[in-house]
Amino acid sequence: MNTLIAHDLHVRLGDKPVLQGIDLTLAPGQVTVIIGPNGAGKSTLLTRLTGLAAADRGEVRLGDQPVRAMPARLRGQRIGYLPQTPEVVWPVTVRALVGLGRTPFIGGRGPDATDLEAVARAMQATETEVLESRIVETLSGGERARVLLARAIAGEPEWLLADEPMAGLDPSHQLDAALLFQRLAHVDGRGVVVTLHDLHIAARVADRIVVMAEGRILHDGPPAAALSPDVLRAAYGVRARLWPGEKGPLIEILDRDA
Amino acid sequence: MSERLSWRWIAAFLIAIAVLSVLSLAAGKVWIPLDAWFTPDLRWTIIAELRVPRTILAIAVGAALGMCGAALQGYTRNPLADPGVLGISSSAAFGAVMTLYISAGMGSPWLLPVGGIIGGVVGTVLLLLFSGATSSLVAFILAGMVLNTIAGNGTALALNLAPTPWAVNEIIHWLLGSLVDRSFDEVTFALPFIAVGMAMLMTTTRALDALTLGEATARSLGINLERMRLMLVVGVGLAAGASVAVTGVIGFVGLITPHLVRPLVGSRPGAVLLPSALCGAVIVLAADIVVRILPSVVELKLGIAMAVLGGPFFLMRLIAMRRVTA
Repeated sequence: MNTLIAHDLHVRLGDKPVLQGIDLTLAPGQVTVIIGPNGAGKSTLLTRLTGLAAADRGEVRLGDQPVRAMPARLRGQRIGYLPQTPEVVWPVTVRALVGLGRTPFIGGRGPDATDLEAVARAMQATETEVLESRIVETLSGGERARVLLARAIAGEPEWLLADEPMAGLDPSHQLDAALLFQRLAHVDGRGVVVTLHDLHIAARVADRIVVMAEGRILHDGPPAAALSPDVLRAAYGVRARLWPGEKGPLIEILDRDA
Repeated sequence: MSERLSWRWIAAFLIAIAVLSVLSLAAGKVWIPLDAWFTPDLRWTIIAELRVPRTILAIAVGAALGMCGAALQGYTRNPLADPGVLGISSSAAFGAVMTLYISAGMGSPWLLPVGGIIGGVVGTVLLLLFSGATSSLVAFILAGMVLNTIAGNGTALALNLAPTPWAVNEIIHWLLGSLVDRSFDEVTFALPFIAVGMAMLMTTTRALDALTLGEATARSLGINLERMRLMLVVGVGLAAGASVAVTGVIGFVGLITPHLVRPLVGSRPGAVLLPSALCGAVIVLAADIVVRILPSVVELKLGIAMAVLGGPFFLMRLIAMRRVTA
């Protein structure tokens, strides 16, 4: 497994500078959570890390290979990406949808036993086997989110980059997803990068939290340090108080910072 | 839906094509019973010279239009897309109409189809130029609409300014779409283009599947969207362009065929391509037999027959959709 390195990333969308010099070295075997206010540049950073879009300046490398220079199919095998609001256009079955996660591996002859096993593992990990023959359109929001997560891990990529994968999940499935991300990182040794809005889930799942604001990295470190009143004030402009909880800090947002 | 089910339907379509082909050889103003086939009967000439090419063309054109419709609906993720939407059909028609201006005194039967295929190819190139280097779907659809409008207006203008009214009359009849009096010349002319175009479309199946998840995810799965769009546009340009060039405009086949096929083999866009081609062949072949045996004085144009059937079909779809969403 290789390190994913962003070096001096600058991205401008229209007139707006969205990323203003991001330097980030991401290690596999860890869950890295990116938090930050709306418009901080989290999603833009994620699409640059996947190699889907070019930066105006700087580059992203996987090991010593620039991701933009990797052949698309090889990149698809090594870096998995789950966008923030994944669309599903046609009324396909859950099984067919999850199977699409194997696209970068499937040659001319169609899916083989390896592919089918990987799909089965992904569905098992997300508890979506029972939904197998359902049409995606008929799923509830949470079921859909789990199926899309299954799609993203069906390729068993070295790196999984997921944009807000917990949105729409109930507490029990949020916990399941958090444990799944941790297992992918800690047991399988993959790299997991997740953007989140919910600070409590971030505290629960992260080995490392990167706090972004206005296209820059404001803070980068273990959850306990990142989720401090000072950092939260600087990032979100709110006053917060932290209470000790059993599995992590409980964050109480008091008011806007005057 | 399982792959096995899909193969069962493909087999069913193939059988239907075989049965309809036999019927297509026998049916028409002159019914030719089986015992007259392969005999030195004069009627054998009708079969060999007229009905065999007509049947082959019906199958090829139906397959081309059905597959083009399925591929375009998959790519644009729009269930109303067909070769007409992209302006390919109207470009080919425009190319054919332009032959009015050079045919004075040299009425070669080759002129019309050659003009059609040139129109289709030029339209394809323009479509790629209009839509730009990116794979933006909105730009692509708008480019198709622009091309469709330009070619349609060009056709109207060309007919308006045409030097000879007789030629105009002839070409309007041609534009309505028909398989009447086609010979092996048309078959050998169109078949290679259709075959190459359909083969190019078949290379896009995996990309079309991945596009179910949107462009960003498809790209992240290693799909080269620019390359697939090139294959798709050139494939449609060749297959649909050649079809229009030899038969005139036969609408609705590309539009309705994928809708008929999806309930049978599932909605995965790549899996719809081949069944749509076969189903398109069945539809055009069946429709062409029906227009031949209808007891009308003037034979109904195939393109008109399809259009007459297509309207109510879509109304039914709309009613069914409203029932689901209500």
